[in-house]
Amino acid sequence: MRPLPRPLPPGGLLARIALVLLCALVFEFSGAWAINAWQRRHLVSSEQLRLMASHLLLAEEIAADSKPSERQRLMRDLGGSYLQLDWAPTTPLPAFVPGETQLKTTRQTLTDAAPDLQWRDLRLRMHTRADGRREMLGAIGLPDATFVTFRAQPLFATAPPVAMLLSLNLALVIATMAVAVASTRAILRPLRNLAATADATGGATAPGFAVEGPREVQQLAVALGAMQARLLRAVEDHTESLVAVSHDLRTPIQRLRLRATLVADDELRDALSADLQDIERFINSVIGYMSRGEIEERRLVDVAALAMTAADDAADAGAAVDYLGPDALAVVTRPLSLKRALANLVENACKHADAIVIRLSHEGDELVLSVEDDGPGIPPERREEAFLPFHRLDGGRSRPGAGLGLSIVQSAVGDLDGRISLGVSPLGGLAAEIRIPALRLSVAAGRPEGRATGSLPA
Amino acid sequence: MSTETLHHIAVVDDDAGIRTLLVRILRESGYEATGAEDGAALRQLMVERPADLILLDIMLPGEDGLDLCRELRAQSGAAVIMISARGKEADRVAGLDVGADDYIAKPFGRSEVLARIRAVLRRASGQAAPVARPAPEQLTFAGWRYRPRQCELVAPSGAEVALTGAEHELLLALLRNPQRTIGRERLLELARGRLGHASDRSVDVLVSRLRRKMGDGQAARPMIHTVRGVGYMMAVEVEAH
Repeated sequence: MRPLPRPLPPGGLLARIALVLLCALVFEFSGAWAINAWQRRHLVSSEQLRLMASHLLLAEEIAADSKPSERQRLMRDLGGSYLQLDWAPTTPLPAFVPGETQLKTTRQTLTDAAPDLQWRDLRLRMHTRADGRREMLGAIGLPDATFVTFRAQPLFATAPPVAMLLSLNLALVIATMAVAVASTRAILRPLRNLAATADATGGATAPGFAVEGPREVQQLAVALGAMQARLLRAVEDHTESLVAVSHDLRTPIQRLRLRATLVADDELRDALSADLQDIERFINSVIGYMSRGEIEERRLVDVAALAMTAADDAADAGAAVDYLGPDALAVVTRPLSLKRALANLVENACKHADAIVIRLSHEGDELVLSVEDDGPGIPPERREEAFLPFHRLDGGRSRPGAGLGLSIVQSAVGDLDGRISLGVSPLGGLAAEIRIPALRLSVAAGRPEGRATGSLPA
Repeated sequence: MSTETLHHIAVVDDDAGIRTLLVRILRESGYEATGAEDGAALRQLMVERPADLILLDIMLPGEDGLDLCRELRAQSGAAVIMISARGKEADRVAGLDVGADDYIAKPFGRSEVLARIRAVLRRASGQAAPVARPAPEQLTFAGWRYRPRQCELVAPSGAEVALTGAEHELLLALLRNPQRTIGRERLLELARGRLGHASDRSVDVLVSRLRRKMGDGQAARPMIHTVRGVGYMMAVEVEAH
């Protein structure tokens, strides 16, 4: 099989643009020529007029040589499709009509073609028929003062109106422009693709740059690809070293934690273990933020149990966390990401508030999970800022943590194709609401006994 | 501790600091403890003075803690608690897969490790049936499935149901002794390893949480049956696979 031809010839950007320009010019030129030819189609050529002149002259001679009673029949027989002939004893056509330039040239052409005609009484008149076509009426005087009359058509059909010619030319220009713009767009498409790829780089995904298009663009793609690889490697190295350091810190922290329990002074011992817990939490959130890992498969999960577990885990650690929602709510989702988001929201709330409520509901095809607290909340103008990694709204280092909580939640919610918003909770503090698209299986206050027989909705 | 003979615990960790500290803490808490820095030292130790329980770090130089655990399982009846710095779900499952009795993630505190040790030792001596260990792969009951090593509970609908650590302990204890009443005291002991501060009420709270998650509260015949004044009982048939 032959390889498919390339959509565009290879070469530089300049060559391609020159080619488009050339094509446009050729197109415009041939279009204009075609319009011109079409326009002239309606006009009588001098060749045809010459033919008509000899035809008329012949008719005049025959008529002059024949008896008046024969003339009408002879003339009618002599006429053709483009020139109808007749005989009449008189004609309404005036001998001379001033001001008709077209008739003047026509008369001139006729007499040039058949010089004998100029001695005859040749009367011409343009006439517009009811259907809009134009025809030429004429009469040639015979020596006995009768007339051979003729009617020429459709040679004298009207020339197309100016508006139509204008619009035809306009259409040609627009078509040429459209083709040229489309070709230029095609030439520039690889550039736009590069821009799109560059824009997409930076999230969890890093699509490769396609090497295509004009030589200059191909060079750009290769350079951008190399830059992307260097950037990704740098970020990866950075992440790896940060995670490695955090991991390595766990051993000395472990030692410190055990050592702290040997301190005799109760107060000092408690302070030491509280500090160590802060350090641990810090390290865990850094590792959690940096090593996101791959996205897990979606599974059928009881989100209500998941939310209750988040509440109970926090409650077991000494916080006042309540769960409000159904006892069971099975949906298809990514449980680890959801758990991560929820755990970080609850941990965040525990840091700033005393009473916390986890609320779960299902609206349409969306799962709505909110964590509400009675803490100080976040003013509306600073809510965007709250999601920045390593950024803490209270400014000081008074509260433990790395300032990663909401960043981790945001990335986890992103993995769930959901969105998070911050607002004011009914308790007066912050309400963080997560909405994720989730296919619901069942909401049950009481689960049916025995094995479920229902099948999953598609 | 009401034990006549002291339990002997071996601490296997390549970090000298952690090893010494753990040994010291265990001795202060009334156990006999010996440290070993790697597999070779542990083997030597097991010949000289077999341990009842081994605290085994997964990340050891040379020999992997998981391989060591597998070998211990084959050769001795000692209980094993795996220690990992990674704290990943996969590690936990791997640890329990090679037959470890429990798993604890670094960094852990003194009370945490002591509670785990107490729970594992009690389980080992209380049941006194090595056949019952390790926990079965899967337990099924009333359409539910529970996989102890993965800590995975699946509802009859097929949905995964999340549990807290303490709820897992409680459910496993109930499932491994179906149709038998388990005293509140024993359940509390199990929960203590997982809860920061366990009180008498804790067991009741845990059971009510479990019931709510399992839709057991509204059922006419609850799966978890309350035996007034004594404790709780799993009142349905449980199949172990």
